[in-house]
Amino acid sequence: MNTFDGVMTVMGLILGGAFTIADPLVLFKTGLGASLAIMISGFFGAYMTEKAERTAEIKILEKHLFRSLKGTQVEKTARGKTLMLAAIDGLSPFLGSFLPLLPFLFAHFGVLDFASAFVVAMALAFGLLVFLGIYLGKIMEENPWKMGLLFMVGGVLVGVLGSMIGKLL
Amino acid sequence: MAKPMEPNIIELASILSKIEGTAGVNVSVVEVDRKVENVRVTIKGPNLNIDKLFKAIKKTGSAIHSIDEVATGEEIVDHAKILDNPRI
Repeated sequence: MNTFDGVMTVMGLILGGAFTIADPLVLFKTGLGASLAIMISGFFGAYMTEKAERTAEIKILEKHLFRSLKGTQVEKTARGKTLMLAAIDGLSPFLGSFLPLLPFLFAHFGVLDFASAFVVAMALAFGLLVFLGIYLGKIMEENPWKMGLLFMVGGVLVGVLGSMIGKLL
Repeated sequence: MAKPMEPNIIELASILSKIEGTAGVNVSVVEVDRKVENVRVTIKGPNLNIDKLFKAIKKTGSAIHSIDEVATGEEIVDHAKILDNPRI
């Protein structure tokens, strides 16, 4: 779901800025700043939450076992899981937000024009949303296409709001 | 002894069986709690390394409650039945 956050964030940024920012590199750099911020936020947020939960779980286990679990395999496994989950929660929104920005980097180097970069970026973003919805649908054993459509509706909402901000303000 | 749910008894038995001097290990679950399970561990070997076994058990996060039976020496000695109280 953090990938979903990343995609939505960058979609809003692209749509809000695409009508006012003429330089694709400026749009890319702005988006990259947001991607890095969301990555660090995701990592630290998940790390602190998981660490608190695992510490509480270990304390409960220690009460049941009447011994300290410091230095045991239980503690090492908990630490490893915390770091792994924090890394996933940091990398997934970064990837979700960074991929749709790449067309603007290509536009800066003249591979694409601005309008094409915008279309490719939106296609990538919507594609990611639909893919996430289908994947989640398969995990939940629900209709994956229904979930994909639901996620796409979220993207459309961001699209409408972002465009309104870009055009009207 | 009491142990956390992880490692499970298969992993625990595997860890203990790899300790030098251990010929065989039997781990059975006696009681299951919400957070821990109580298991009985029986270890047999020609030259058990008690320190290493205890360290390995502690490293898994388990807590040894008691050592209930020790048979050692050149012969395996079973319990002798007390004639006026055959239940002991």
